[in-house]
Amino acid sequence: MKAKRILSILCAAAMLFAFASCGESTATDTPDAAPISSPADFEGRKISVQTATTASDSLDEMIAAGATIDVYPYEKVTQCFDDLKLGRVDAVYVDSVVSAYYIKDSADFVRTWLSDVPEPMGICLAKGSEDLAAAIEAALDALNFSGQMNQIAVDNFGDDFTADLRTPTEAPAIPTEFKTMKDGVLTVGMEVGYPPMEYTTDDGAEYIGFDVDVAKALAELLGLEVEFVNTSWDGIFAGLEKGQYDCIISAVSITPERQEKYILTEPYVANQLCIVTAA
Amino acid sequence: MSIIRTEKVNKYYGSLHVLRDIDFSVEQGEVICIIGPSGAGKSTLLRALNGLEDIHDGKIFIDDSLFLHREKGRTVSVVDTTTYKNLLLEMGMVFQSFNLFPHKTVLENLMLAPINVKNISKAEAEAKARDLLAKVGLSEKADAYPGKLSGGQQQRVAIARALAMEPRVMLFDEPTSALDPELVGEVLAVMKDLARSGMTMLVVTHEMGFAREAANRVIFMCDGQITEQGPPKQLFESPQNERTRQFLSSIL
Amino acid sequence: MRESLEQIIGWLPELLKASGITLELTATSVCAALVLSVFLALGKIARVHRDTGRPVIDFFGRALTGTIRAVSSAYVFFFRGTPLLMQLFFIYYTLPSLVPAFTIRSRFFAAFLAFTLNVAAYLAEIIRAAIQSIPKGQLEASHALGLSYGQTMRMIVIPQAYRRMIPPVCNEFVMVLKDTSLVSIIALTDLTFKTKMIASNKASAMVYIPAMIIYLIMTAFFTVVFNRLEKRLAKKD
Repeated sequence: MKAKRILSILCAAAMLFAFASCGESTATDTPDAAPISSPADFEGRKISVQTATTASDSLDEMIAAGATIDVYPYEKVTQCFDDLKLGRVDAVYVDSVVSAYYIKDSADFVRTWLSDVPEPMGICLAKGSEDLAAAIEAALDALNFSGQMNQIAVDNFGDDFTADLRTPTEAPAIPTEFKTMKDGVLTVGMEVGYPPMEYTTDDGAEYIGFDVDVAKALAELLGLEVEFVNTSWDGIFAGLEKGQYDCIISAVSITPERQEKYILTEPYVANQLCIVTAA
Repeated sequence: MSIIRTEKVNKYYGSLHVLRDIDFSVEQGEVICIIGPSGAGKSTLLRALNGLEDIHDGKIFIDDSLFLHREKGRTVSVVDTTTYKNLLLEMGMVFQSFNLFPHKTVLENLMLAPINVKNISKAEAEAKARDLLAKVGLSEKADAYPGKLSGGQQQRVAIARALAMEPRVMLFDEPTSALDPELVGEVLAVMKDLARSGMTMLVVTHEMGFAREAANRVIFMCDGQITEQGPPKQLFESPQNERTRQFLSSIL
Repeated sequence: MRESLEQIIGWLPELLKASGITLELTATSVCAALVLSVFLALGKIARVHRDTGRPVIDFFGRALTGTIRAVSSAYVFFFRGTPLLMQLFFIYYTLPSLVPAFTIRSRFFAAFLAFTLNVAAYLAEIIRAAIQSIPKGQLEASHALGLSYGQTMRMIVIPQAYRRMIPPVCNEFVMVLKDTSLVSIIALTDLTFKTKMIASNKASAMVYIPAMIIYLIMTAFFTVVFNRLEKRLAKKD
């Protein structure tokens, strides 16, 4: 009898606790608050962000510096935009290359802020692939010179995030002395599922996106077939070290740590942080 | 006036006809033993009386008022809920497997129904329960849980539990069949005491000694029918029916 | 080695905070599910116990209990037959898209709801099995003593079934504790999500060590509590 009473009291306490914590979460709801037009406006608002991205790191730093931000961290960036559409969050803090994809075809979202510090991205190779790296570097220049890169960017982003990164003045000569894992094949590692950089068609049958187009164009210039290896982000660098692919073309930001451990090409596309809110 | 009366009661288990046109009645103060081979429908008849088994058709009267009337597996009429419960409580039931409530003490087993069904005060129910336990010789076991009692003790508690509701007739469904032989006597002794005190009893049993000694009527059932009935002396010593003779010769 | 130890200690406050969410979600949803599951279990075994002899009333009585049984069974079938992950997604994304009024703003509440609905289906089966494991003789004795169906359930069946339920319910509780790691998909920072975030941000797989230890401590704690409870109740028999 006593045990029963204790159990029911515990139950009641637990329920109260549950509703209290639900209330806490909805209390910060302020639909008529000021529009968010810069990261300074994040204070006290709900911001969704993809985990393990520059935007997420940046939010962490802001919180560490004393800001109060209700962060909704998702593993998939599509979830961030779903939340924005459903009105669960006030804004999405995201890479500009990604936001371009969502804004392009949608009247629901609007970009309210774009960072003026570009974050360049490069193609990543394992140490020891210097020859291949040089060939890729030259091929990237060639794509820029011919205007093909610009076309790929506009097709995928609706905006040219590759402008001004590479300014070759003449068509470069592409080295032919390099080795790939498999003869005649460029094997590319990427985490598919990050539109518009690398994702699949609706039926999942085919890989598409900016990086996919770049990889295909590169391989063509190098006289190679292209093969993609879909790997989760967690293990993507480990896979490169184990020699599962020749290079990573998967929106890899150029950071000093990565430059130290791997070979990174000069930037081929630059990303900027941006804020997207509901229109 | 009969306490229980049945009219053309029939019951089937699938295609098996277990009760065939049973007509019988129990009068005030009678001690009736129902005997017969297993599968004869003795227990089914007893359990049909207080609604533990659904009859297919027939009528059951309690205190001469229609308790239940069914035709072709459908209820034609039944008394209202309050009357149903009151009439049901005229019958106390003792089961072969005791069916005491294992999570309640002996005393609580005896007090549960009087308090919750008859709305008797707790003190009154306890006094009554202790009195009944004394009658079945188990006063010292009041606070024990049934699991700690022997089979014979459990059955005596079960009898006391049924008596606590002050029924006018007691139904015993093979009360000693699940007991070790050496424990049968103590239960039969309690039942004999009860019979002597004037309680109306309906007992399904294989204990011919008890039937001979305590009953004033013995009913012999076979293949779902009452084939013979009469005072024990007559039925045991000069059975008229062939089946009765066969049965008696096989067990005696 | 010493470095990793210091690292691990540095992560502990964040991990412990995240385990708070894990615990809170488990405890609240299992408690709410227990309440819901009793109704589901009784719904699954609902039937007409005695005809009134009036055809219309008997017909509706049967129709009503039949409907209750069907609805309860369908509920249990649905929530046990589909993955919890999808149920969570359904509540969090699909439902708001279908009916905007059902947009759940609170991540915790969405997770609480999904887990409660799901766990209730499993607990309902546990409770139903426990109730049906009570020997028929108990029901017969209580009928013969004039106890109503409600009284029989409350005083005879449930108190006995309750003891038989404790080990499987404890099992379910521990399962739920671990299953709450699914809520990371709706941005609720539970222990698993926090661990994964630290692992990818700080690029250290060491964080899985303290995280698993915290899970073990939590499951061990509840296993001991439930065992004690079971022993205490068993003493009576």
